[in-house]
Amino acid sequence: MDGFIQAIELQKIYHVGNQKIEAVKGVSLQVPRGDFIVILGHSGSGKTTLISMIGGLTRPSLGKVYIEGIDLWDLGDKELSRFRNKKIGFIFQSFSLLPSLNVLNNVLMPVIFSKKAKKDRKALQSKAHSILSDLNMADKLNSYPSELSGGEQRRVAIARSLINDPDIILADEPTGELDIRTEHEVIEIFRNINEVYKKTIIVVSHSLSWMQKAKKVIVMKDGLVQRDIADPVEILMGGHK
Amino acid sequence: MVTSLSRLAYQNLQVKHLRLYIILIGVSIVIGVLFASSILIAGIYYSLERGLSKLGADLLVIPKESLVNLKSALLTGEPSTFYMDRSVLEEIRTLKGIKKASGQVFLTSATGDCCVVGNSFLIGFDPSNDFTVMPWVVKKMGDSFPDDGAIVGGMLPWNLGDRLKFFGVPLTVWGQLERTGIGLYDNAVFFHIKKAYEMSEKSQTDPSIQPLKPFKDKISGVLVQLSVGAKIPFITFSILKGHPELKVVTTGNIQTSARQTTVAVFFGVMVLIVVLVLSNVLMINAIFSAVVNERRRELGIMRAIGATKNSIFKLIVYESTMVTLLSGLLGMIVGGILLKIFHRTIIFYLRLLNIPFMLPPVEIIAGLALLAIIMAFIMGISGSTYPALVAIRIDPHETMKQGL
Repeated sequence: MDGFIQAIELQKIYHVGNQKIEAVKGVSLQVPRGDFIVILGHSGSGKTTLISMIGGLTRPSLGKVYIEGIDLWDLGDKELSRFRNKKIGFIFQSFSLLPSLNVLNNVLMPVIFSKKAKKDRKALQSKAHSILSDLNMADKLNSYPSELSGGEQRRVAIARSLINDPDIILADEPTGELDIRTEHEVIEIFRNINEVYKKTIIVVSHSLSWMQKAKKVIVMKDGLVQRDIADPVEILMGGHK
Repeated sequence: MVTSLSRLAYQNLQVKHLRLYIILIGVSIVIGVLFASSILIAGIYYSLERGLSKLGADLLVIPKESLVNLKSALLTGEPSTFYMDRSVLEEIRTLKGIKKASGQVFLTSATGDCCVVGNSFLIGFDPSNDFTVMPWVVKKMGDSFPDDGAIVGGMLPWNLGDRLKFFGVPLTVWGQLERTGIGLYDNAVFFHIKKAYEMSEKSQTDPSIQPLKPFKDKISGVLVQLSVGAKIPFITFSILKGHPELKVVTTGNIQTSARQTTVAVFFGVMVLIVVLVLSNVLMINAIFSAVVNERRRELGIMRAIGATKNSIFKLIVYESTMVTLLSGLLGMIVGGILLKIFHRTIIFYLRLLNIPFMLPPVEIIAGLALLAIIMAFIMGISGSTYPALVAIRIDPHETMKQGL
C-alpha cells in the first residue's frame, strides 16, 4: 500500500481537572496519494482531533503520523509550520476568512508565510486569479468576506488552500451551515480538486452527502474507527449505524 | 496585493478604527510633549554651552565668597561684589602649565545713571591680555579696542555709537555681541579695566554718584587658559596652596551647576513624561490584548496555514509599532506647532525663571526628532510584547474545534 499519509495508533487524551478524556483511542490510517477520504461521525466522535493530529495541528498523546515518510511530530514548531504551509491546504468551517482582506488577498494569505512565493507577485496574482476562475469567483476578487454568501466564502477558503499547491487538502466540515444546493456544489468542487488537481483529500463531516463522491469513508464513534468503507455506495445502501 | 507580514499588519489596522484613533491620540500627545520639552531642555543647555564656551577659559579663580553667587551670575547676570588683590593674577601667571591669565572686574550699573536702562552687568577687562572678548573684537572689528569703547550684550537695547555713562564715566558703544541666551553675556557691558577703576574713584569723590565698594587695584576674578597637557587638579592645588581665600572653578563645574538648575526646573516635566509613557504602554497593552483575544480564531487559522510563532509575534508587534510610529510623527508635528505658537510665551516665562533659552541648531532638533520616533517605536514594542506572546500560544487545533 502507498503510505503517503500514515497514521499509526493515534491517541489523544485531554486532562480536564482530574478527569481524563480520550478523544481518539488508537486510530491507524493509511492514505494513498490521490485518495479522497471522508471521515464521518457525530460531534465528539474524535474526527476533528484526528485530522488535527494528521495535519500537524495538535500533538498526539501517543502514536505517529508520517507524511511522505516524514515523522510529522518529530519536527520542531518552525519546521512543522513550514511543512503545513507547503504540503497541506486547510479548509475550516465557516468564518475562516480574514475580514480585513479582500478575496484576492485572503487567497494569497498562505503566501505571506511561505518562503518561495514573494518573488513573483504577478505570477502569484495570476495563479490566484486562475484558481478563483475555476471556482467561479473571478468577478469577486475585490469583494470582502462580509459581501459574500456562505457558499462563496467556502470557495474562497478552498482557493486559499490551493494557492501554495499543497499535496494534501484537509477540510473540517467544509459544507457546514450551507443549504443543500450549495453543499452539493462544494462537494463537486472537492471532487474536481481530487480529480483535476490530483490532491489527496481528507474531509471531516457529519453529512452523508459526501459519500457519493468520496473514494473511501471512515465512520468514527467515541474516538474509534467504527467502520472503514472502501466502497461508500455500500453505506448508502445499508446505512452506517 | 498583500504578500508580506508588514502589509498584512497595515491591512489589519484598517478594520478597528476607534482603537487606532485612541492609540494615535494617546501616543501623539506623549511624543508631542516629549519632543517639545526635549527641544526646550536642549535649547536651554545649548544656550548655556554657547554662552559658557565664549568664556574661553579652562579655570576661573574667584574669592571663595563669590561662589554662592556664581550660578545666578551666569544665569541672570547678577554680579558678585567680592574682590581679590591684583597680585594674585601675577602669581598665577608665573605658575607652570598656565598659558594665559587675565583679570576682570565685575560690577553692576547704578540705575538712574544717564542712558542706563535697569541694571547691567559691567565687566572691566584688560585688552592687553584678555582672551575672552578680544578674539571676538579682532575677528569682527579687526581693530584695536579704544579706551572709552564698550561692547554690549545682545539683550541690551543700545546701538553702535550710543553714548553711555556708568558711575560718571562716559563710554561709547563700539560693538554688540550676538545673543547667547546666558544672562552674564546678554546683559553685560564690557569695557577697559582702567575705566572700571575710574568708576570706583569717581563714585568715591563725586557725591552725586552712588558709591561703589572701593576696588582700586583689585580684581573680581582671574580667567585662566591652561597649556596643552596641564593637569587641572595640579594647577588648582598650586593656586590654592598660598591662597586659601580663593576658589578655583572649572568650566565643567559651572556647566554642571547650571545644568542642575535647569534639570531641577524640568524634573516635573520629566516625571509627567514618564507617567504618560507608562500609561500609554499599558493602554497599548490593553488594546492589543483585546485585539488578540478577538482575533484568536483568525490567528489560529494563520498558524494552521503555516504561520510560525515568530510570524505571529511579528504581526502583532508590526501592527502596534505602525500605529505608534505614525503617532510619533503626528506627535512631533503637534509638538512643533505648539512650540511655534507658544515660542514667545515660553521664552517669556523662562526668562521670568531666569532660564536662558535659544532654539538649538537644526541637527540637534533632527536628533531629538529621531529620539522621539525611537521612543514611539519602543512604546509600540513594549506595549504589544505581552499580547504578542499570548498570540503565539494560540492553539490552531482550537480553531478547528470552534464552530463544530
